[in-house]
Amino acid sequence: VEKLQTRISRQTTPRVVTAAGEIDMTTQSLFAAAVAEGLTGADALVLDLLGVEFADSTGLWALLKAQRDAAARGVPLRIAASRPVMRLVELAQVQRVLLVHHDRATAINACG
Amino acid sequence: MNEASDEPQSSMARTGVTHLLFDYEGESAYLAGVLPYFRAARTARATLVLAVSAAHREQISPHLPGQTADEVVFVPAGAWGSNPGRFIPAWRDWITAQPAHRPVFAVNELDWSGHSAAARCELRYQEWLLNQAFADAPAFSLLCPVDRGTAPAGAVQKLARSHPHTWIGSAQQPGSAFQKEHYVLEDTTAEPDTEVEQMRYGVDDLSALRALVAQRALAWGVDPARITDLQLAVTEIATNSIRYGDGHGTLRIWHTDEEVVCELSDAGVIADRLAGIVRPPVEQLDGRGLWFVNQVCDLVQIRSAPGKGTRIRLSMSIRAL
Repeated sequence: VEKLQTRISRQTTPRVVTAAGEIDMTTQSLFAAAVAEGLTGADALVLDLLGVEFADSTGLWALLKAQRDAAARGVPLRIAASRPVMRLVELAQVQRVLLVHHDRATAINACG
Repeated sequence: MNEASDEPQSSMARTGVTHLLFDYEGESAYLAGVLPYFRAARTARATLVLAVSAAHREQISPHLPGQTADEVVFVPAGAWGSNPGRFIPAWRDWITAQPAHRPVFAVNELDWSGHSAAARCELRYQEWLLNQAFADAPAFSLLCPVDRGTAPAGAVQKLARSHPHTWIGSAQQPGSAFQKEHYVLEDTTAEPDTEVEQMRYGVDDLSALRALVAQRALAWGVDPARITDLQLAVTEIATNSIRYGDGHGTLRIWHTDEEVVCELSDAGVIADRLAGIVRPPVEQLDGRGLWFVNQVCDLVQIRSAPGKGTRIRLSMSIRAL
């Protein structure tokens, strides 16, 4: 089993990138690449990270980078965050820039 | 370092911190020392930020005449918890929350008896680091009262090494025992007198490392809700080993009646003493590893020197049954 599985749903509006597993220094680039691919040409993007069982500062780096890239293109970005992801956002106190939700439907609706 | 970037811009001179040790004995001596300090604050048109015990709050409240509510702010002393690595960030938050146009005069009471000997050692080191952390801050005066009658033995002498100034009577004087250039940490990382498990790790072992730590910590009684926190801390340190310490490191894990300890060693050296005790601003992408470690662990002991490498002990308390 891979440490991290990612999937991009292009048929939905907004587009959704789903990731499940562990995000650390060994899977960070895989995660970042999936997010970058999802962002390309998107009107709005949701990251469904409800299946992320572990994430560290390299994961938070990828999320902050995704937010920066999305903002530069004017693309709304919302995150459905698992407990470990939510915990990182709280510990870093970046709730102002990373818009996190407890479930996927709320994240999707929040994209407007 | 851009540790001052999250502070409000101010026209006030960035004169940095005046860090005063106030050594007294008994409650009347306490009042005799803090009241002149309050008067000095009033003269300086400062905001008073008070992290004092409940008893002292009651004692001093009648003596703050003429100071309005926004000029005297009580903050919850000790709210930063058990890990001394959260002491400096707490003060940064407390003073950043005050109006930028006034200097801050603050009182910093610490519950020395409430910490283990190892934590007291780290806390004294943080008191020393505070001088550097706030060297470029807007005018900030911090008075640290210590009752030599109730503090642990030798506390005043040891604390004098962390404080550039002392408060005697009603005036500040240079602290004669202050260790200006180099702070010598006491040795509080003795070998454990219990069974120690060891695991060498590299880039391919992070998942296995997390699994081992979780398994042992759960079995030894760490709160299940904190297991992911401990895995986070261990992963952050191991990632630093892999990136900056020859690509690998060694974990040793053991427990006492009170805590689970994870010790991670590698060949790297941590040059920035303030790493992990300054919250990275929201717009910064990286540099959060040691910050997370300090936020989640109950005690963090970092020993790092050129030629010796880095050894970091992370402690997580065992849940009281």
